[in-house]
Amino acid sequence: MDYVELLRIRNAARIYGSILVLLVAIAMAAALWGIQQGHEPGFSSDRVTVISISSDTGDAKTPVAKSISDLPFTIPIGFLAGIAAFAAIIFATILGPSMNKENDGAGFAFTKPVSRERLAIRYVLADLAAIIGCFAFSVTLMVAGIALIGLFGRLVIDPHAFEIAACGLGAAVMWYGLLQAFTSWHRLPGGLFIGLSWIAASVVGPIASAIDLGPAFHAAVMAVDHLNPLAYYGGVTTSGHLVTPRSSLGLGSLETIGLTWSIGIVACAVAALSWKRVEI
Amino acid sequence: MSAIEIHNLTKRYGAQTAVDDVTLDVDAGSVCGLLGPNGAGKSTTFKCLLGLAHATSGSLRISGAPVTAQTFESLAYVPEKNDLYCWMTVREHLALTRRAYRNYDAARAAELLAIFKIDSAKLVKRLSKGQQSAVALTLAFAIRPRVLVLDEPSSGLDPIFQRTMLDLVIDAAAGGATVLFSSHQIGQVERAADRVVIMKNGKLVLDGNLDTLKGDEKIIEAVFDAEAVAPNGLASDPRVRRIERSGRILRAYVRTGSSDIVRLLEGLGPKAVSVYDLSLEDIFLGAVADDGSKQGVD
Repeated sequence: MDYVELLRIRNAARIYGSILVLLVAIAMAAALWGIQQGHEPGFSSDRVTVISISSDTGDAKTPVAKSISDLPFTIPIGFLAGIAAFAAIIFATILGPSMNKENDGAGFAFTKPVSRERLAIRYVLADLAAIIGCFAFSVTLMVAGIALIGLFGRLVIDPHAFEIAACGLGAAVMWYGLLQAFTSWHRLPGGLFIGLSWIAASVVGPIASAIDLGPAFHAAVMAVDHLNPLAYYGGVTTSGHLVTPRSSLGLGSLETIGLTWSIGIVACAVAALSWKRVEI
Repeated sequence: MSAIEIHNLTKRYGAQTAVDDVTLDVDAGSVCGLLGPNGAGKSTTFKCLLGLAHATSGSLRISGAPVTAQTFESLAYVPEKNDLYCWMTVREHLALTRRAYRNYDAARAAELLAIFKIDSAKLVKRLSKGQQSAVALTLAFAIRPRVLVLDEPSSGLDPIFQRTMLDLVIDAAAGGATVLFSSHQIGQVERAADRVVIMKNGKLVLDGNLDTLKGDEKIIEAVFDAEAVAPNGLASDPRVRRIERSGRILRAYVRTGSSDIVRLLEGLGPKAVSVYDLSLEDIFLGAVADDGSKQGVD
């Protein structure tokens, strides 16, 4: 029965993969255009002024063109992992209500020789594999794009790359699990909860954190924020060549990884137990 | 041996009782037709039987054991509301069924799709309601089930394919399968079922072998020159289940001792008195008639 979920993932991946390819193509074009305009596309502690990629000569006052290979910038893999983690988070929220999708029918999945617990485990494993696959695909796509514009040699594996990947994927798994837990036990459309969760995590949460209504309100917001995946992983911070994961909760990477993955897995287990009791 | 055992099933949704203390055993290899008006509790009974809804009380067993995921290895269910994935193709549904069932018969599936004239490359949402019902039936019969639970299986099918569906049911039963099916089409039940069960307001109001039911009850029809009047004592006679009056015609549904009732009516001097066997439609209408309506209305 996980075949149904594999088909859902396939359909989602086709659309989402096409969007990612398009975005990377746009980013490549923008990078090339930026280089031509004299902007530095990577990370460097030293500012370098690039005048132009090509220039017609003849005028002695025209600055001499520099090849890209002459530029002293690097592209840390951690930065790409940070972007890929966001791609995985978005994909995770698309897949999130997979159990809920079976509730809005006449029980096709529930009248087959596989228990709901086993079905839930298979759905979750398929979805988690797809989320990790989305992350890997996004990184590969960006690396391929960078290679296509001749900057492969600028890629560097920075010390926090795996940390960023684990934090970002942890946030994706946490969000996925919470969506499963909030949607597996009823028939309301799962898509509604995807939208609401994005509004809550990316708009309501940050606004509530910024409002100063006293310590009690602040404490309440902080407590609720522990259920916001974007509070655990809010992207990356760059400082020269150093890229590190950013958490508005002020947690270390190990705490972030432990908490996000744990919340995600526990939420999936709660979702599976709730799903078992759903009546059609 | 009973292949399907439903004992004292009650299902409540809040204050509403959808199924009220229903007991039903279906013998292995038989076809049981379940009739009842809308809201009688037929679909809820099926859902409880299959674990799709939780019974408030009662015992439910299939092939002698409580229903588990393993039960569905040899059980096929076709729900009243189409349960196919509209975004998947028919071929993908076949692949899904093949993966889910060990005894999936690909040749049988192909044969049924050909009979129903279904293009397996089509998305389910591109099929008509009748074609979707045909796909659901194809998937059900392709696993060569020992038990079939069919809730309005002919919904949307044209008369030709309704006949095909009935042939499939009869054929499956001839092969030893047990079939429990509901239908609003009394003719289908009459043709395929060995046994008829009628539900009304969540209760089982009639249960019996079709031939016995028909033989047990007769309709005595008396035609008078003037407005028909029921003789004294007829309504209270325990053998008379129902009386209908329509202008000059008086009809009595009599369980046993029809000859006594015929004599009683002949004593009123009618133009004619006739005795008919009941049709299943008569049995059904009699069973679901409002309570206390022994005296019919004009």
